[in-house]
Amino acid sequence: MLTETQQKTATWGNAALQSLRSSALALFEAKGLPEVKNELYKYSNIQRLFTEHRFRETERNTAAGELPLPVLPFAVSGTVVLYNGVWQPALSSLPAGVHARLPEAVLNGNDAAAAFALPEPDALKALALATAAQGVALELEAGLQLAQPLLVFSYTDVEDASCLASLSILKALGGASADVVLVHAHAAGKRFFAQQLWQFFTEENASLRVYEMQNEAAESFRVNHFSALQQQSSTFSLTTASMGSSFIRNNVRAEHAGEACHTELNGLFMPASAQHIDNRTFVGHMYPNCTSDELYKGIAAGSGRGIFNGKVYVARDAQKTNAYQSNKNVLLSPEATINSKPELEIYADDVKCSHGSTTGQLDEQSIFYMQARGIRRSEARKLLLLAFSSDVFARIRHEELRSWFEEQATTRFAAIYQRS
Amino acid sequence: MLTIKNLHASINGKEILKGINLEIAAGEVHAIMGPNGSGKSTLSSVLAGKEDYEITAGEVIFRGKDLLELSPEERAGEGIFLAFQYPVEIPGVSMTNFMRTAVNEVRAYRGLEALDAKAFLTLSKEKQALVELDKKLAGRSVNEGFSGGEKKRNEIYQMAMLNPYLAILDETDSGLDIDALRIVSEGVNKLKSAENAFLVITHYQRLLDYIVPDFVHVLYDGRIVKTGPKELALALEEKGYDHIKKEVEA
Repeated sequence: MLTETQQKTATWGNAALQSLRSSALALFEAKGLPEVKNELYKYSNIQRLFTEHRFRETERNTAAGELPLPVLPFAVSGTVVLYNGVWQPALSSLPAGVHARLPEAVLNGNDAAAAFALPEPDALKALALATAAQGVALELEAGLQLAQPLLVFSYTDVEDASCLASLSILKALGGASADVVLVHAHAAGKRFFAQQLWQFFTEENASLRVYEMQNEAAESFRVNHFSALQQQSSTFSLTTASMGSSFIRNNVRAEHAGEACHTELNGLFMPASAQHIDNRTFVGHMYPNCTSDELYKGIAAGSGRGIFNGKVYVARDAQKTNAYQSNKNVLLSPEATINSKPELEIYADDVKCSHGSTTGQLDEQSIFYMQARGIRRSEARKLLLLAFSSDVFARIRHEELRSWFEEQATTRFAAIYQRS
Repeated sequence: MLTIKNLHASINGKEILKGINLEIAAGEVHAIMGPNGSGKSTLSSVLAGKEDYEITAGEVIFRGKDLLELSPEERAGEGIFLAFQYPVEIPGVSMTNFMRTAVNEVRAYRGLEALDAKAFLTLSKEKQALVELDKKLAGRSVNEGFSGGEKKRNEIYQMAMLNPYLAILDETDSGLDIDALRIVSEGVNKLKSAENAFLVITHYQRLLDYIVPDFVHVLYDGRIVKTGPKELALALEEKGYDHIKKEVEA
């Protein structure tokens, strides 16, 4: 359990941020690390993780010499490097029209409060906010159209059992459009509990498509706080492919600050062995004529546990909202677990909202049909898993990015079957 | 090619096959007819290796190998093909990906190199033409949205692609209109050779007008109770299965 003395409260930023940080700290001290009694973390016992692994604040480097950049099968428009959560300008290269600064330079007064306010009493997010290192604040110029994805590469290299957090901002100004890929790597053999706070802003008519490949090794315990605030007629989409780490919690929040916004949240989560992958999403329809579409698919193997808890909130004024949420899961072993909890909270009366959740097994008829054509059982199951996940990938419009996600998932399916 | 000796099989403790004996040689077409519930589909499932059935006695030798020891995919590799009575729809798996995987898995089993994309496409086009399968279907998910006739033609296309030694057609005629029946049968007839054999399972004589059998077997209550030349099928059509039942039970 993290005690007061072990926390290292961050000091960067202006008075508004400092004050936000103190209230976050107060919340954390009042609530402590969430345990399962906490409705927000009903399926994920954070307190137990800290007891088990003794995660703690540690001294660490904040400047990297050289880093092994990931080799990706597609061209990127630029690379932004974070090292132990801290932006590394010297290792980063930005495309024209993308500007990077320190978060403290852009977070002033109300913005900070708007961006990192705690709409729910989430003590873990409060801890992240209070202790976060400065990641990066990226801004996409108005009208910018990035043809190739922008890579944000985070590398973790800390003492064993370290606890760290980082705060970053990504703002797409009016009409800008980009794909942004978040990729992680870490030094081998050292356990760490990493929290990322990402605040996304989409201004009018902007379109921001964010993808995170979550495929770290078992030393990684990761909690993401992704929040998006969307202005009129903007599009925000987030796709997470969760297949690595011992523990992943994705806290996803998208809120509309204007009419005619579109939000798309996609996730493929594949807990195997004893992995725990928890997705919590919140879509806040605050204005009329907005749409949202969520698709989360879980594949649980071994004694893995996967969770989807998605809430769609439609405010009284958000008439003509069209919100759709779907969670489909496959269990591959008798010890695997899926928890699915879709929630709708609707205060407007002229809306179209639907949600669906199914959990099943791979269809034995289909497997036999393929076997009867000479396809090995393991291959047949892989084909079915790929088919099961295909509609998540189909939503990735950038072709090479889509192929890369598909490839990574296919490799993962093969690994699952080698183990089981 | 295939020797079935005293084959007994049950499902959930209920015995369905009660001692099947059957010998099929290369170049032959055998028809198995019988009333509903006689065990026709069980026999085809057991030969293809469906796990739901328990083999309680007997043996099946296929080209010198103990078939019952092999997994369904190994049987396909050895050259057994089952054309399903109800072809399975597999959403999300494209016909092309499915067929190419199947062809190359079977080739790998037989120690042959994988076909490259171009060679596969050429072969596929040729075999599609054989059963007049619409090219558009290749882009769709396996059997998804196919009409009844298209599903059955798709089975014969797959058979042509995999080039088996023994093809088992399980009520391939069910749900087919007369044109589809003709196309499917012509496809089968073109694939017939001195090296392969067919086991045609059917309820009606109609299919046998097109695929002419060398032997007709009547399956009743889990046993082959009568074997004869192709004329036996006509007699069955005329007199019905009740006649056979009476004969057997007498």
